[in-house]
Amino acid sequence: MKIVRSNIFEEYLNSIVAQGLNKRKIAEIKEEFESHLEDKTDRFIEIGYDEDTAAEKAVAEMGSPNEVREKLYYISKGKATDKITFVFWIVGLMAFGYYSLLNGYTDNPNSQPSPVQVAFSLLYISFVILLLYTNFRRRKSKNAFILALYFLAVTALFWPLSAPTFPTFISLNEIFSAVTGNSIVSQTQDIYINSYNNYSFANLGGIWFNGLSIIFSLFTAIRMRREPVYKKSPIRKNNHMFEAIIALLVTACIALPIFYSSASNTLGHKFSLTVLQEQYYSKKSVSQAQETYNSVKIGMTESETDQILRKENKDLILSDVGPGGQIVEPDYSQEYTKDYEYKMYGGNLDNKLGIIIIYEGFDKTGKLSNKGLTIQRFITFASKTKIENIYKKLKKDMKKSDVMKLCKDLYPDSIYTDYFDNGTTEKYSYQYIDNKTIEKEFKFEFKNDLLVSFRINYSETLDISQDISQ
Amino acid sequence: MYGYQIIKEMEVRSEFVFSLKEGTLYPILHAMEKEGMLNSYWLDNGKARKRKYYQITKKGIKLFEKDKEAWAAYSTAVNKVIGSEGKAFAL
Repeated sequence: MKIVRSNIFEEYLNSIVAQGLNKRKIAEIKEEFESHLEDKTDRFIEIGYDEDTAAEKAVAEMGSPNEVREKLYYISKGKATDKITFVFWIVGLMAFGYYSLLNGYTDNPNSQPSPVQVAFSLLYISFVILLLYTNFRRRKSKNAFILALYFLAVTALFWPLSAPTFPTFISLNEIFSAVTGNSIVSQTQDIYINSYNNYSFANLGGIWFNGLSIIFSLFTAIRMRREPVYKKSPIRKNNHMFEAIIALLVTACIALPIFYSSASNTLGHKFSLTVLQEQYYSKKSVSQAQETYNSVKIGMTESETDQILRKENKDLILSDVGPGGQIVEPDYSQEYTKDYEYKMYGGNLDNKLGIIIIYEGFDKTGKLSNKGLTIQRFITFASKTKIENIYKKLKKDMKKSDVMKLCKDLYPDSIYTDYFDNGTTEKYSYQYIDNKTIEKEFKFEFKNDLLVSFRINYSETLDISQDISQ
Repeated sequence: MYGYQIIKEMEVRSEFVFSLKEGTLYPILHAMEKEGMLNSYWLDNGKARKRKYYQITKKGIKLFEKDKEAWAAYSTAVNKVIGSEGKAFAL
């Protein structure tokens, strides 16, 4: 009969010890509970029950195995583990969002996702399933099951565009930009911004994602409070500030951008970011230009002047657009004549000052016979910040006149506004010494003088290829 | 005292008003031990079965005194509200 009793106890004891506790703790809990069950069974036998019934009754009075397991788990394991898990979730999701941001970009809605994009989406799903599985197995919690369903549903909704955390990351970036004026990404990398409204899948996805995310965040916060770990400790007050703050932050990160004008584009627009390698240039001052001018002496060859220019003016632009957008390129192959004019355009990227250094009068032997320096204001180049500002203020259904005013106010010397009546600009490419290139493009589409879509491209690239075939 | 003893003692002292479920008591004991309110040790005298005994700590005594005072104030207040002789409010 002892064997039957111990079998009943064993079954119960195995069901109350949760996964995740160490072996020593499990053994201790089992031993203590078994000792109690033995006492209680003996007591029931004393008052007339047979051993089987007494053992079953003792077990029944211990309480529901699920309830006991949960209580023991959280008390034994402690909240710290759950906090770490929770942070791990958030950081993990953000990390995957960031990587999908770097690699999961899809400009063309009809294009196939890249292998990297698919890989990250699969990794993301595996990550979520793994976390939920371990959580669900340990706690046998319905909440974990509901969370799993939610994440998989959102993944399916966005598949294969990108991992579902991609929009969440953008939301975070929007808040960060709104508060600090800087983009999380732009601190180290440049941004390539696209916005379309003629992308029905994205429209649907954007609305669903934002709506579901708000509901999900609130739901999670409420449900979490019901989990044993988030309930009050049995012996002291605990207001769970940590969990509350994290839940609030997550909710805010997802919900708040909707109320920001810049982020309102996420509703009804495809909103995507891609990151290109950042290449900044040193700033050119007037005094530096003058130094260059002074270093160039009458009688130098073109190659000598060129060396000085390249050495002292690494940010000078070799080919550039002048007022009106014409591209002016020095032609090195041209036969030298006395009247040949050699122009170098320099620009300070962040200020509006343009510098033109004009060397005149290379003679037929290639020697510099005359030189001149002109410093003047001319059309400069929109910085990334300016372009971002325009992008953020553009809204769907904005009047054409308002769009023009916005562009001109924020970007008064823009060459783009010169062409604005057509509603679009060509892609402008600026090539710099050291094979650096900046490309910018604005495209606006109006219907009945109302903005229906717009596209802004800004990229900086560095060509460091070399021919090693020789 | 060990767990079973505590339950029995509580039943006796409360004249069977408080009958704590074991599944509730042990997690509480473990939590109190973790918070430093209790110490525990195993005792095996060879005759009876091995048992885990709990002992209140100084920290536990402090909390107990504090909670006792709080309870005294609370129960006094409740008694005043419902009337010292247990009279309810008369409409």
